[in-house]
Amino acid sequence: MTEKTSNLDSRCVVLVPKDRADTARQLAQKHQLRASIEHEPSLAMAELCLLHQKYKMDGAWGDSPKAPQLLLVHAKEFSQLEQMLVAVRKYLPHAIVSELRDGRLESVENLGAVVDSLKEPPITRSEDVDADELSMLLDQTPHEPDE
Amino acid sequence: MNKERTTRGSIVFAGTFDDELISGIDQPIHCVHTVFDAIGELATCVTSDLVEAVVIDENLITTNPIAAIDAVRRVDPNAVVVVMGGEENTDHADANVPKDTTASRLTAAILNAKSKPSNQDVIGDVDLDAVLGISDETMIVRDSSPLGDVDLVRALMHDPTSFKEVLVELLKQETGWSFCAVVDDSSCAPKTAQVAPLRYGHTEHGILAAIGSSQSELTRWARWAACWLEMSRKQRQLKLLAYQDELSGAWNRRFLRTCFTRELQIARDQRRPLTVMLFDIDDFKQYNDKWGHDAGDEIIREVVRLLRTIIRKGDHVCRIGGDEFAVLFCDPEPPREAGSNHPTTIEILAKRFREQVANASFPSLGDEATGILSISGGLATFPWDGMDVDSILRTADERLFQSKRQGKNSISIGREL
Repeated sequence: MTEKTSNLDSRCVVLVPKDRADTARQLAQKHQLRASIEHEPSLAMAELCLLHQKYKMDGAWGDSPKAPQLLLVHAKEFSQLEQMLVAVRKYLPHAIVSELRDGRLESVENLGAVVDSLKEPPITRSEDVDADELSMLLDQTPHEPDE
Repeated sequence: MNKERTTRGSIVFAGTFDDELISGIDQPIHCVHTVFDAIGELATCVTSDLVEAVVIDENLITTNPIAAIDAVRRVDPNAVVVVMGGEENTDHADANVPKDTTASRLTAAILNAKSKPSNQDVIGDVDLDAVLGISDETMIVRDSSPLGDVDLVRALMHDPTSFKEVLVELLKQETGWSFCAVVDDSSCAPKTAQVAPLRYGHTEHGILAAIGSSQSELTRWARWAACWLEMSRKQRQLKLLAYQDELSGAWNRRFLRTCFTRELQIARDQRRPLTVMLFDIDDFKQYNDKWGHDAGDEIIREVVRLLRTIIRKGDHVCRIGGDEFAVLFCDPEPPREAGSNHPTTIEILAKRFREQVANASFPSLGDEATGILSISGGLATFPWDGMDVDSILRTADERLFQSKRQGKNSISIGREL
């Protein structure tokens, strides 16, 4: 259930559905990443933890501190993704989580809301602004309420 | 002898569990909601609160139970994984318990799973020459000049694993046989080959098989080869006598120093940590005085046996004094690569060993003796606690005495001295 591309420098864990593994491999090659490609969220979490432990150990030897990286590729297909990201935020707060969106890697800032962030923001229409509201917005001084 | 009972590691409960079950557990617990949290707990636990077991609600791992359990094991291969659920449990876990289990049954299931032996330091399987640094192929310079007896001596001294190969090459060179081999049994030899037993006195060393030889010539060379093979066997036997403790079967103090020196050099070259644990049996003299020396000997043997059930392949158990022991933790694969099994932390091993000793029974001491034995120990790690063998052993020794001063039955790990 694990495959690796190991000829490159930067380490990371990639979570990708099995049928999209080619995308993950291309991504790793394009971005020069040494990736552990996982197809199960639990195994990706374990690998991320191990990467964290390795960096901690390297730090004890005086190496510059590094943060473990998790890349999500089509990961919204995993029903347990949100649970996993909550755990990442709790136990590995320094982990860098990125997601492949439209061919680009983008940082996932709000880990807990990652699933929502993948959707288009809802378009809402407000009611027309009346004269009082407009005046208040422009002048920043509300009118006195009517007697 | 009233001693405080051992403090066991914590248990992580992942999922929803009965309050009565949780409250009945007599050790530290951490309740989390998901398997991911359980993995996080394992990865970030501190040495003072090591996780002994992870109990997973079966409902959390319905999608892929094998992957979930594997994930837990990747982070800590020594944590016992228990799946709690109904009828359809997974065999992949260390233990399965029903949803309506009791605290005592759950604890028993964890203890039972822990008692299964792991990789052992079986001396018969150890390449003694490699461990002690005797093997050194670079000392043997192979060129096109004919082989001689001196090449056999060199192979014996510097590369014993190649000894048979050199012996066969030398035989071929001296005789001109088209085929020559040392085989275990004549049935392993080619049908057209002549065979002769390799026997020295009453000791059998297999069969010499050759094509292109007369039977009398083969028998003469077989006697010559058997002498060399016997010498090779004797040399290994002498090495074992020199480095092994006769009573317990563990390695001895000489082995510790030789092996430690070599492993330290490797650790330095490969920039990896190397840990030694020194420990002794608390109040060992009292057991000898009360139950006799045979009982004392049994305790020594049992302690070594218990220790071998928890150490990893590559670690070495040494008896360095009457009731003093050392364990050299030679982790074979650090720093780990992502994707491989994480090396078991030495603190976990040390803690589990102390627990095993405290819960062991010793038939020679009578029924009342169960659970009265305890050990005190100290751990020291290169490079943090010392840069050479003496300073690391000294630190471990100081920590051992720190454990004694603090009331025995403990293993000191930290940096405070």
